[in-house]
Amino acid sequence: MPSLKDLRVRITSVKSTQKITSAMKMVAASKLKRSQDAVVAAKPYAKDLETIIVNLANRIEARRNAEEADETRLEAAVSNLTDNVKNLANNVKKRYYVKELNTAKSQELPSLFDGTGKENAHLLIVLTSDRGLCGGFNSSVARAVRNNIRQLEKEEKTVKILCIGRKGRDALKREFGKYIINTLEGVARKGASFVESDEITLKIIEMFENSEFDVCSLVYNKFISAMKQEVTFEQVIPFKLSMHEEISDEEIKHKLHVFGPGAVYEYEPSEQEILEKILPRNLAVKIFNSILESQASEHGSRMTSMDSATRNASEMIDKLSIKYNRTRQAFITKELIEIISGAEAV
Amino acid sequence: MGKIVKVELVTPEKIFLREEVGMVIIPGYKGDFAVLPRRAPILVTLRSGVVTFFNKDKKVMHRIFVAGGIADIHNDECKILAENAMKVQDIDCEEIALKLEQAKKDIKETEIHAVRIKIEDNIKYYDSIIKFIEQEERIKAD
Repeated sequence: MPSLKDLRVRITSVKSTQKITSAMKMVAASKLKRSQDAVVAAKPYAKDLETIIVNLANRIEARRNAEEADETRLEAAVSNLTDNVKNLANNVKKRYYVKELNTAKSQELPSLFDGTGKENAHLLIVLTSDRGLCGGFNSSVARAVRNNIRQLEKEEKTVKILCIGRKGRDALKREFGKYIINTLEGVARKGASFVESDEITLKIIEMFENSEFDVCSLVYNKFISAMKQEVTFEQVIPFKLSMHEEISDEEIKHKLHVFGPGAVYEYEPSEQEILEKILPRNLAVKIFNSILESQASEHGSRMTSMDSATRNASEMIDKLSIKYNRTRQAFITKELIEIISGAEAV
Repeated sequence: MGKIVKVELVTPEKIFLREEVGMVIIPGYKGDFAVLPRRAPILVTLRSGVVTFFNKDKKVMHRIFVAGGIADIHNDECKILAENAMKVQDIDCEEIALKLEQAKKDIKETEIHAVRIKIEDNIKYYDSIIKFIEQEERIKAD
């Protein structure tokens, strides 16, 4: 049985822990509000950009298909002719269509959009926090990444990991240390800024240009509510429509109608050039948004876990106080018994 | 439809400004151009420069300096996705000059290609702000 002094010491220590956890909860709650606002504020840009990209790509694709159809129609027409005329037609075709064919080839979608055509090397960008004490926030991301990597290993793909946040590296380095190519710490410590995501994007694009990977995905906690976060895999290279739930079908149809082949839409510079210019920016926006989501999730997760820690601490204090009081009474009773039995003996 | 243009100026961080205007002048890829109601749809990339908002009586409402981006205009809606935006009256010339100097120093120190590109972009951006302000002052002086 612990002595009274031991109990007193334990109660004070639990009390001071409780003070810390409740303070952390308050801090997390106020930060959560701020980062939640940031998440909401950053949505319109991402959504608009994505709609533009989808429509541009559709447009280029549609035109390419149309050109191909023209080409096959021409072929078919030529093959129906007699040999003499065929030769003539071929000559004409060569002379007049070669130029057009060349332009059709240059109308290919950029590789950031279409990918390299392979799926051998995967780059996972793992977003976690730099600090702990936020419940299952980091471990759930780490678990999902681990499962994913095992799957990729089975398929004999090469894996590379870029960690944003210290905790993710710590959790993954024992098993997959050889895959981790870099760890960025202190990202968005003073609130996420777009410039920061831009720098990360540059590094990633440089790697992509050097063909160090074919597919790039972001892994982060998507913020749903303070109580709930969801580990999300989002493929960013090659481009995949991610916000489809948020851009309604109606909206896309409306846009497509406007962008459709019939509408006279001007482009300055060409569609191709615009797409090439905005794809890297879209990547930066995606990274920026996932950093924001991850941050909001971190604060939400920390808030709830610190809240339950505070509650657990007060339960513990109650239990310990009862134990303390009982022990104290037991001591008093014991002393009384000793006195009485001493007196009786005399 | 037909009397006003709904303009939305968005940066990655937030919706910077939302306004119904009579006309807006945008620094397009090939040169500045005005967007009036019932304009033909256009998708255009932007240079760094000033977006000017005019109300229905063609009086200047806002002047905003944007750092590149893209504008999508159709159905009397004008969406400007800018990488960076600030109101012209808020530009602090000295601060920009300091940043420019710092960037020029940084670019000498760094060897990494990607970082260099980024800093070069920044330098261009700061330069364009300073040039714009100088021009502005010349006009005032005249």
